[in-house]
Amino acid sequence: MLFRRDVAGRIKMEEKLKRLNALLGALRHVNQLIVKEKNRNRLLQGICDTLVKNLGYYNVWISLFDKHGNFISGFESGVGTNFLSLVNQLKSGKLCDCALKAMAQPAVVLTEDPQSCRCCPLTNMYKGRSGLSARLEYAGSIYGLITASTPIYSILYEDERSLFKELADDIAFALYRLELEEERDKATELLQQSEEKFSKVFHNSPIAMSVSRLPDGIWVDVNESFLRLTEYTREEVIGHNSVELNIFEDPPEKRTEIINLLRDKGSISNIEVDARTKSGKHLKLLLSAARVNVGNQEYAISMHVDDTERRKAEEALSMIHGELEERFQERTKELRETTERLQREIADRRKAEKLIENERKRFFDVLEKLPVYLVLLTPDHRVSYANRFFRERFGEDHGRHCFEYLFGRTEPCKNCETYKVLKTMTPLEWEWTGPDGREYYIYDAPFIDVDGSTLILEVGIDITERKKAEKALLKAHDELEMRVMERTRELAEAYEKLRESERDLNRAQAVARIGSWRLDLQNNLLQWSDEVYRIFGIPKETPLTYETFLAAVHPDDHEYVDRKWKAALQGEPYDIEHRIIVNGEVKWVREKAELEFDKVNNVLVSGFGTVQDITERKQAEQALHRAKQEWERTFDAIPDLIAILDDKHRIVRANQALAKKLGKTPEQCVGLPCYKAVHGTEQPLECCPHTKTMKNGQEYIEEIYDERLGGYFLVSTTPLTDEKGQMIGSVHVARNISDLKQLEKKLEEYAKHLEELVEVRTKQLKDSERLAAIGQTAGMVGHDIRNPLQSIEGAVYLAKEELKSLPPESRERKELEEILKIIENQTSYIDHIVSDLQAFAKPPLPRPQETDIQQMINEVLSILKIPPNIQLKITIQKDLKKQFLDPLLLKRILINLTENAIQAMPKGGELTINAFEDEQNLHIYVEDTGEGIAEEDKPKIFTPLFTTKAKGQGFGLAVCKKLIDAHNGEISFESEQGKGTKFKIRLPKRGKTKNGKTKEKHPHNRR
Amino acid sequence: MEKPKKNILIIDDDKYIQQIFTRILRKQGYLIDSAETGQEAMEKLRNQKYDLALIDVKLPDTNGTDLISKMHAMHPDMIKIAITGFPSLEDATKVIDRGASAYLVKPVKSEELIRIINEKLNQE
Repeated sequence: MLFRRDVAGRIKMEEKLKRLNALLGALRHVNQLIVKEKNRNRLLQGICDTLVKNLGYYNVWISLFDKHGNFISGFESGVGTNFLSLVNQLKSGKLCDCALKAMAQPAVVLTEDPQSCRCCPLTNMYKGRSGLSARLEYAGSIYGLITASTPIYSILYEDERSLFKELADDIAFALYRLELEEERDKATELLQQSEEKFSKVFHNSPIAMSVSRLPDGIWVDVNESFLRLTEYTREEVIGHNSVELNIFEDPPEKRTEIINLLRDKGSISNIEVDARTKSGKHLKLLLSAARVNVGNQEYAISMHVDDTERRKAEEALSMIHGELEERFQERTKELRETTERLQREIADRRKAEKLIENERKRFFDVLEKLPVYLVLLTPDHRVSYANRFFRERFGEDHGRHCFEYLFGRTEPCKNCETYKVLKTMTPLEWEWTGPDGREYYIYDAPFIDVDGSTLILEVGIDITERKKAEKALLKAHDELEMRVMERTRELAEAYEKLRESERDLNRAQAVARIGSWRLDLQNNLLQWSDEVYRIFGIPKETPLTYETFLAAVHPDDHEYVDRKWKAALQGEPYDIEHRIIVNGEVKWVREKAELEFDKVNNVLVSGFGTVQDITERKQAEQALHRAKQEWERTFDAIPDLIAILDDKHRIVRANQALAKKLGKTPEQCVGLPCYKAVHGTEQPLECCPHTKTMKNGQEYIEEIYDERLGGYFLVSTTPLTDEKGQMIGSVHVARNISDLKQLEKKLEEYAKHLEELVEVRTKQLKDSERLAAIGQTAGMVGHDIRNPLQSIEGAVYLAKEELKSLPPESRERKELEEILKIIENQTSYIDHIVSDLQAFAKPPLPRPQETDIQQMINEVLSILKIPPNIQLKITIQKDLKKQFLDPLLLKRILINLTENAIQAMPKGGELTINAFEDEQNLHIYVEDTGEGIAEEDKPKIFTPLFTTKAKGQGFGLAVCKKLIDAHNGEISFESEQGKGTKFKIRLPKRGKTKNGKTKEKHPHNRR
Repeated sequence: MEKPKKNILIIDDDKYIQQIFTRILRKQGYLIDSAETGQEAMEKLRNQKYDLALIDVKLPDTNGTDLISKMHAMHPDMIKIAITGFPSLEDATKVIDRGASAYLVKPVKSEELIRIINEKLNQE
């Protein structure tokens, strides 16, 4: 829009002025209307008409909205039928942009080009016009919207806009005032209507209520419930306070606190107080109160909910429920009675208007400020009265049905508890979840209104918190139960595991043979594990005391155990080994214990200990100890010098013998180098077997001669290895073999000597064998020869006899006789030889007799022919007794010797025969001066078949020897060649024969 | 008017001795019988009585001394003379104990033999 500044401006100015005037005029009219018209509709309509009529605006309309933004009604002027479409649009909740903008903020909204506005159904009306919109708002309440269409230019005027705004404000104010008045009227009406109701309610309330002045707490009014609760009369209460009456038992500080809280906050809710009735009964009350200002005075309107019963009911809800019902029934009955009574009283009260008004106000306030809701419902589900609590919680009913505005339903709720009351005409208590989501404790009771109509009085206490608490409690309870079950299960499992581990422990103890015990002096308990019972051989259920234990201890160990236990009580460690007797058997146990003492007075509190059966170990120890001792004793008992050497020739251990030899104690020997200690050398001996053993790991034995040690020693070294097989030293044993050596030498000598002897004996044996063989042969041969000899002898005799038939001078006879003689001689000679043989072969049995030696020698000499060239010399001991010998054998011997002597002196000589005796023996010597015996012949002289003579078989001397041997005698000789020979015979006296017995048997004494 | 001749039993296992003794003693006028073994001798003794027996102590089948015992048991009156090649005083006493009258050692001189026999036989 372009306008020319100067002229156009002036025109505009004029027009503007004109317009403003018009507007002002319209405004004046509007204001007049506002003052005059009390009917809203008429007012608003009037305003619209005025504004248009005075040509302020082309058209104007006003739309009213409620608190929620819902379209209530619309007024217009200048719009016409088009307004309907707008109204419809608004009804459906659709606001145009301009409207929306206007509603959202206080400023006026200009719509320069309404034609372009798409949402407005009235756009076509705005040709050449613009729009103004403003909200109708006063004191925070937005009532609606006023819109006007103006000439296009006018919107630019500041004044226009502000005037429009003013207009809107005025209208809003008017609406506000109207509302207020309406409300006031309504309130007054309501108040008037309900003053009785309020009063009734106050006084009918089952809950003890009171009105008291603040801060002194003087009661101004109380209801019957209060009086019933406290058991006082009205006269006793009114004009007094709780302190005077001593109703409240809380300390004065609490009272003051409550009062202050009330004065500060304006209301208190559900504070627990303790009260006492007139009769002294204790009550628990929930106090809720609201502060009310009436004029300059502060009052408190209090509600005392007897929580005592309720609390009791929490524990025994069902029981109390009945009681409560009863009581409520009573109360209801009383209420009814009271109601009737009050109705009469109310009539009286009417007189005191000012008081009533105050009371009204008070009541109103009371109810309004109650921290519980209170509502009166008509049978047709409308709200007759709802206190602020209710209204705030659930909203304004606006005359709607309860089901409508509470739940948005179009018909009564099914199973409505509240309305059951109408059916039963009895009060009902129940719990309800409101549309606001909170839990309420509801008390419904039929209520007869002033006009006699039946209403339902409903009181609702917000028990959400309590409910929450209850729920939480239940939940917690359930959780708890679950947890308890879980815990129980866990516990059972744990218990089972415990039992298992107990069993394992038991088994482990049984295997290891260790038992455990626990002493708890505080509870006077002594416990043993199964293994301890087993070790002590006591049945499992035997009651246990220290005495039980002590009885099993070996008597010899009693003192020790007792002493150690007492020491343990003083804090000494307890770790002992001792014997016990179980079923007569001795066992060894090891006991360890840990004791706990009271820190204050050092007294034993508890103890834990173990008992281990160490019998086997002990026995093994003892056996080992005995073995060790035995070994040590053996080691030291052995006379050999024993040393255990390490690989460096050092003595690790020496036995007693060695130590003694070195002039030290066994302990002093340890560590000394063996060669130094033993041999006194600085180096090991070259032949030292230990060196060799160390090198080769084999046993070595050496003979060592050591002057220092005292002779010959047989030294052996045996390697010593450790468990791994490493050579760590050797066992060095030295045995003194000096004696042995000596013996060895002697033995050698003896052996040599023995060899010589053996030679001699062997020769002799051979000789004897030979002799024996010879003898045997001789015997046999002798006999075999004798028979033919006999024949020959006989034959010769016969021949000789035959010859006797020949004349004695006959040559034949003489010759034959000579020949026969030769034969006879020779056979005699043969016989002689055989006799010699036989005599030699036969073991001669000497038959001793009393023999006269002299006589015998004479006989011998007479038998033998002594050649004349031999001189005889016979020397016989004077008084030589008769000897007890075998004469025949002796004769034979003498004959032989004498013959030999004679034969040894062919050219003559001297023959000497001596005979004498000494104490033991008879000695006979036969001596000749003949040719003697050659040296080489001397050893063989007595050998049979040895002879130097041309004649003879050489048996003579052998026989002699044999015969002399048979007498236990001895024959020996001395001979020198060319000089002569002397034979010496020794015969023991008393005729002890060869077999050692004295033969006294006479052969003829056989029988 | 001849005196009954005396019987002599010669017991010897050597044939030649038997022959010689028989000849010698026959010449003296005795009746001579001979046996070689102890058994033979005992048989002969059972069947006949002899006045004298000349017994070789060493016989193949019997011990001389035992034989003499048996003979003595059977013919106590008979004169028994033992003769042996092996002289032994012990044996001599034994046979005399058993009942022999004499004990001779071979080779006995024939004259000696005749004398002893005559003596013993004529003693009766």
